[in-house]
Amino acid sequence: VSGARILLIEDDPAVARTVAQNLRRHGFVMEVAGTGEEGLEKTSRFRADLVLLDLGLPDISGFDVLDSLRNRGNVPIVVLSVRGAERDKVRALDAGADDYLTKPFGVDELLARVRVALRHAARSPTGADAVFRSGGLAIDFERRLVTVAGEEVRLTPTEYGLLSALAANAGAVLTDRALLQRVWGAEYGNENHYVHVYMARLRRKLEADPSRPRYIRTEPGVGYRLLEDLASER
Amino acid sequence: MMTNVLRYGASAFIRQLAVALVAVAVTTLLLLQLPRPLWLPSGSIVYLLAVLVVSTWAGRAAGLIAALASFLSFDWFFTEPRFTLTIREPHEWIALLAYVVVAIVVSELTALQREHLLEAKNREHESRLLHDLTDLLAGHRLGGALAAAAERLLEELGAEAVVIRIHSEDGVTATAQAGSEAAAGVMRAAAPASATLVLGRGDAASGSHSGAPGRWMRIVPPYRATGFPRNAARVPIRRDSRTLGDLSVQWPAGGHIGGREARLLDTVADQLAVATERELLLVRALEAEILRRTNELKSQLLDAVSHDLRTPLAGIIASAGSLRQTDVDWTDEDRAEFASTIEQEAERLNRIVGNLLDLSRIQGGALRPARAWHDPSLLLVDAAERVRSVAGDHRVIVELSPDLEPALIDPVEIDQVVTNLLENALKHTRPGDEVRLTARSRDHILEVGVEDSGPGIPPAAIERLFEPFYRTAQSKLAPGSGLGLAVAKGLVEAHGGRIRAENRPGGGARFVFSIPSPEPPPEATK
Repeated sequence: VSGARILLIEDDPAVARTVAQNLRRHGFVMEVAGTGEEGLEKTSRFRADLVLLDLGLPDISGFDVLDSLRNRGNVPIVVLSVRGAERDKVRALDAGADDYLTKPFGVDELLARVRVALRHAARSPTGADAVFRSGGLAIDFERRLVTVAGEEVRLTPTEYGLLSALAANAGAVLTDRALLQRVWGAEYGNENHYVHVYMARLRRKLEADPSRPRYIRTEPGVGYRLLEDLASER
Repeated sequence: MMTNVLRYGASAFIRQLAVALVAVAVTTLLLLQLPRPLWLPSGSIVYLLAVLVVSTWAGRAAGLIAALASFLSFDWFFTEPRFTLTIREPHEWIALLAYVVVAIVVSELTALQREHLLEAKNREHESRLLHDLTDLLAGHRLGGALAAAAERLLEELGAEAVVIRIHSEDGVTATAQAGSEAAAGVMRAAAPASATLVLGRGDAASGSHSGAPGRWMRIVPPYRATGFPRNAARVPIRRDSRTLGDLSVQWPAGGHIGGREARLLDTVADQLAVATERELLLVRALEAEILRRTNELKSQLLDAVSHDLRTPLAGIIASAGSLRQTDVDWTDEDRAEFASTIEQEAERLNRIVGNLLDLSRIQGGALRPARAWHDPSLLLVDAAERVRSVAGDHRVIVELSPDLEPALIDPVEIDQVVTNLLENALKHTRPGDEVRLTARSRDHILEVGVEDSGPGIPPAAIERLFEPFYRTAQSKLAPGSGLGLAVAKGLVEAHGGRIRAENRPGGGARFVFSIPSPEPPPEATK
């Protein structure tokens, strides 16, 4: 992951400078663009492995930049947006962004998102591992077997579908709509409440203490995220 | 006698004439039944009785007619030679002349008595009408009062239609009408200056003074395209030489309008002017109050901005400045502490700004919750988890009832409500204390409570707790902007829900909000 080339499209100089400095220090090669046009122009020359895209740009809409980038290839894109703009985040994710960061964000969060997005891009052609592990949770995709701390958890096909969809994108957010279409089918679109309710059931089965959840995190108004790389036991 | 004021002039006279003639004819027939010697002595007394009855019952003109008719009839039927108007005996002349004088005097006196009685009744009636109108106009806001007044006036005058229009320069406009829609429509549409019959300014009747009605002015317009009906009148509603509107009355074709009606309309117009003036003052007072509150809110906002935004900024600036000091040899722990101060204070600033934005969206009415069916357990548990990460030594305990059902909520906004309530509870409790988050469903109403074991809420503060920038004396000691609870209230109310605060019997405060789902959860979610 280290040494990857990252293009940051962000018009605020202070944010751009801080983000670029931090990522450089962590071994990434950085390029910064202050406008959408400049960003699109630099994408091809710079051959970015990842694009960090601010949705609020001074010249063209961040969504237009997102569309153009998606039309050119599948470089991972993490969008930067503000709190309260949940609809924008969902729209960006459904339009092909891989993840998002809510401004203001901390450096730890920035690094985590960047690493997850780069790892997914690297892994996607070969497919996921046969077994997913995070903390006490293990998912054996071949045997469709889910265990928590070695104990088998019996899931319905829908619950298993949700969990494996989240695991395939572990660390990244999946929108309600993305989950709905992956688990229920492409003909579904507005039945987001199926996802909300089944996700609550799934969590009750997975978590030892459902009032202190560890594995699944909700992103209010956006979707769900399965946390990866959890320490095996607390 | 409850006659309509706009009575028919010609037909009233014919009725009086008929009553007088019939009464005299009947009396004559009765007298003719008596033995002849009794005719002369009792005739004048019996006729006088008839005149008395007629003038009491049918008025002055009828009495006078009866007096003359009975004189002629007496002469014709009862004095010798009969069936002529000549009289033989001189003493009979005297008797007849005396009779006619007495009859006229009696009829005049009775009629006068009757008129006084009628006048008194009318006055009583008018003052009752006036009293009713005053009540109507005082009891409602202008629009409703005008409608009621128009209705009452229509009934009182027996008019075809009544239209009241208020169009003051100060922006109070209202229209009310009663009676025939077609007639009212014509008067409503007519320009203020287009009436042909307008009541001039007179004196309104008051307690002791009967009032001097203004004169009717028939206005002949230079051209005939005015469109104002001929059998209608318009009374301007004026106050201190300012025209506030007008009152139009149209009566049935052939009716007429007299002095009493003019006085009545003038008085009513005066009442309407008073009511309009009152409404104007009310509107102005309301505007002033809104301005005052806006100003208050602005100054509170300024206070909050200057104090609550500057406090974290002071920490950030001081810490960042310290880190840049080159002549001091900071230890790694020192540096870490400065950095974490910057981070924490910036996050606090971020929360305040977020709440300010929410508040402005709430107050601007721009809040449209994106409601969908959610299992509240996920959201509540995650909100508690997020608060725990900054809660230090507090224990945040989540208790969800097993009957908790999906609810129709905007997850971002409800998450904000729960977070604000939890942060508020943490602020008012000591480290190590418990903060309890509970939730249950009842009749498709989601009920969420946040309880703490802090000092509780001062009783005087309970009412004002949810006002923006309101802070109790004790909460002024804790960091915060007085925005969290106001935002929580706004968000809950945008969901059609309610929020309240109370003190727990065992000590500590309890905040409860409830969100109704307008329909039961869909089958698929059960």
